[in-house]
Amino acid sequence: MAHWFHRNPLKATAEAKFDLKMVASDSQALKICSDLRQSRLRLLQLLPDANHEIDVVEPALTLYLSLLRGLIEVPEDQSSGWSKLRHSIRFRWTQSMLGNTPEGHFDAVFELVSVLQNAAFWYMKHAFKISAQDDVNMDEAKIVHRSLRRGAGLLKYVQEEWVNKLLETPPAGSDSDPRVHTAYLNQATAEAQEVTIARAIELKHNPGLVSALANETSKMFTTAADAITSLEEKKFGHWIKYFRLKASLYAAYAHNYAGQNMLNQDKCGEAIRSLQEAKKKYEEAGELCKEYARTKGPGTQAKPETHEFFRRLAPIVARTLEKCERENGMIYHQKVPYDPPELEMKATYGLVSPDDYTLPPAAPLWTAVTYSAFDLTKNLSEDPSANPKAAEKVEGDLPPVKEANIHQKSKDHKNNSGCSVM
Amino acid sequence: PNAPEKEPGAETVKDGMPVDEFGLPQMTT
Repeated sequence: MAHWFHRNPLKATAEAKFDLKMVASDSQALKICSDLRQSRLRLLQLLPDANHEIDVVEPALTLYLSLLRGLIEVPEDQSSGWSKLRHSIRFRWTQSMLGNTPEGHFDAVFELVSVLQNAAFWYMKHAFKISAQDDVNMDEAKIVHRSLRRGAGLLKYVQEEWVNKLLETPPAGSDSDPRVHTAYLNQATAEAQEVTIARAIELKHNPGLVSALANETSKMFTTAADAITSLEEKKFGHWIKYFRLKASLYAAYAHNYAGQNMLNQDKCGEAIRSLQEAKKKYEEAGELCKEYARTKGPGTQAKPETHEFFRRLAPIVARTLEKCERENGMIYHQKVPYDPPELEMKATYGLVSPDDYTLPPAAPLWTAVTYSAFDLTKNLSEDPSANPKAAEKVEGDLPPVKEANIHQKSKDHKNNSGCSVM
Repeated sequence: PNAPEKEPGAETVKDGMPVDEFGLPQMTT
């Protein structure tokens, strides 16, 4: 699926030194500071490269989060109170769609939210990387599916559990803005379903099943687009067009397979109308591909119209429609309804749910003793809320993350679906 | 908490029908 998925930029961040003050020098507490610094650096070195394996990135993420937990919650405390160190360090992060100007907060929860969102984006990019390679076997297709579910799971977890604990309401268009979150969550979930649809076609599943799943997927892409239409067109327009073109394409798939399903049930008149609708939606998707290519904005430039999975549908619709019209003229003599038949509203099989996610336990280094070694009075930020704008002006913008290239093949796949993830 | 016995999304049966890792009905060969 080279050039099939659209991906937005990663979030950029500034260095965090974790230079925390102590009551008296404590070797374990010093090690926590050193480990926090190193594990954060290690994770930030891995995330810009989607070519890494999950087995490399996931432990790095888990290690850093296990250490970060001590800055968020009191270690070994059943009451789950906030750590006295929560507001000790200033973290700066950009937002995936808002350019190079970062937000800065003395808040370890802001760091947690940002790290989890960036990790989710990495999973989505990793899925893209696997799907774009020359030959994708079944195990790799499962990795694509799993990566997208995991990305969705991280985003869902962070939004439901942590965003409401931030100090300030997320700015409009930021990654924690519920509208942007809805777009990302639906994107990751719908893209995982794209894999399932291609597999269902490849295995020649019942056309009714393919139609229902394609219909659900089309609706998810529409939900994603609708969620961010109220945001700035200049920044979000390109991404919105990607969602719209995918929504139209899967509506075309849904009507095409509904038509085939109706023909199998000798409902030839309805099949003709459904296939006419498939043709209309397909042409709409083609126009949206052109609009997407013309629209500037953050993110990569997908070229779905060049992909076999896109191109294969037009001759299938034309052939099936021709067959239906011929058979209706010779055998069925059924009336073609004015309106297209209703698509099956709910798919039964192949729907994707985001993976459940929960934070790893705090690192073993975080004990009551090490926690008490940190000096609360010296570690309170001097002025966490006063004039943060002035501080941001002094610190300036952050350079965008330099992301590693992902090889994309240009050959078509010689299989039924035209999709590589089979 | 107990670790889940299977990966989420990797159900093997749905509505009494055996399904594969993608949640699609198992094809009989």
